[in-house]
Amino acid sequence: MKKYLVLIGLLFLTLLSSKGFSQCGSLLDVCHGKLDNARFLKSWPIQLPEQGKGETLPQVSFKMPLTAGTTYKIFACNAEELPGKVIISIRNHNDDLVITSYLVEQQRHLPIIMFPVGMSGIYTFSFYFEDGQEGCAVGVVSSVK
Amino acid sequence: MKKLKLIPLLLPLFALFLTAGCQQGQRQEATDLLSDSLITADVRLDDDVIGEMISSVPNPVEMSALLQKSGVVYSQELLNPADNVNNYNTNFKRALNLGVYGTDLVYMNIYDRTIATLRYLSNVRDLASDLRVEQFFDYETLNRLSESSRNIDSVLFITNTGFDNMSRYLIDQGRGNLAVLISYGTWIESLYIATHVQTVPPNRETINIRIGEQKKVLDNIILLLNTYRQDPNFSELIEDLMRLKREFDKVTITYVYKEPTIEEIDGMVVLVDNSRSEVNISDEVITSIAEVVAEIRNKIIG
Repeated sequence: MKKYLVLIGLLFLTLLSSKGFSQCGSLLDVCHGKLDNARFLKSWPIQLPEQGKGETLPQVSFKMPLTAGTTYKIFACNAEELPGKVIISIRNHNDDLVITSYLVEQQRHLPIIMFPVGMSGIYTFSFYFEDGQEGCAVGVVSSVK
Repeated sequence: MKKLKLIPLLLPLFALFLTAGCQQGQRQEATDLLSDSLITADVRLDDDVIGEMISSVPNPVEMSALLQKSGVVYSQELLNPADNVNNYNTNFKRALNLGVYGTDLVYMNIYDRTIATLRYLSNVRDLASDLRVEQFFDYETLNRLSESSRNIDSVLFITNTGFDNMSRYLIDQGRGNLAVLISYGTWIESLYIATHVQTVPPNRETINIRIGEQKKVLDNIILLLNTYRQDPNFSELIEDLMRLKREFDKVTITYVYKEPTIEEIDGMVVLVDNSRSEVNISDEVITSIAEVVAEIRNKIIG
């Protein structure tokens, strides 16, 4: 009997440990609702560990072409079960920082970035979590109709 | 008796093993296709770089949306005929035309041709199934949603995420060559449609600028294909694209960078991009680009 209980215990542990990841993966379904008047173009799942002492800030980057004359609606959704709040930063093909979703001076997160593009090119989207906390999120790029 | 009481408790465990078994089965099937990969290529981009570069290929939604917004009339004749799907009997052709049909599907959806999409949807399913990546498309839902034009955004959302997830999966499975071909197929079809639609000024100019901007994308695509150039099929694609590149080399793009500003409009933070890009492309260049694109694309769909 003891043997079976251990097996069942292990089963629950497996399910619990995979819970965080599966919720992270299904975030896009929740985030989809924020599109409103925009057309979905791209999404990236982001899952990063907590920043260790003396380590560089964990972050991931993706590239995507943006076109002049189009207004892009860019946003992200955080998984509630992890503490990290995602920050997006966007750089142009010349590596100039165009914007971040966190305004340092105002200590304010922008829930949505509206970006009417004037310069076509390939832009780099970088994602990291505030204060290097562990987090999971999904970043979405859409175009306003 | 004691053991019988344990059965309900052990059933979930059994189910978990079954699920794990199915996942293992999928992985096994995928590795069967490794013969499609050109592992011996001498110039091989890292998988992460391949993924990143594929991500920088424009989404066909944007080009189709621009055409519709510019008042371009829908033209079914421009699309790859649905019956052609029977001609694709190698994975090389299947992957390229999965991309082509993917773009056609997007074009039809943007123009509200929802009923007509069913045949193309079925082609995408068949080609994806032949490549053993059909798990990324929920066809039943797509079929149901396609019955009404009110669901276009949802259809595009499911199609887009399906293509993205499929691409990531193929790269993870060491089949990046197929991901590159699919991506190339979507791009060339999009470019073909844009260079062959009938329109009038000033909309023609807007479309021409968008075509000219593909110069940068073309460079990336050549780099991507070059990773697998030891495969004669890939080297033939590169040769064709080098002809196209010679035409695109006549396009000039200039950039002027200015600091962006942030404004609050209707309670929403808007980033105002003060930078500008200028594309210089003549009508003659557009004509020659259109000719080369048609040759390349017709070879792919033939």
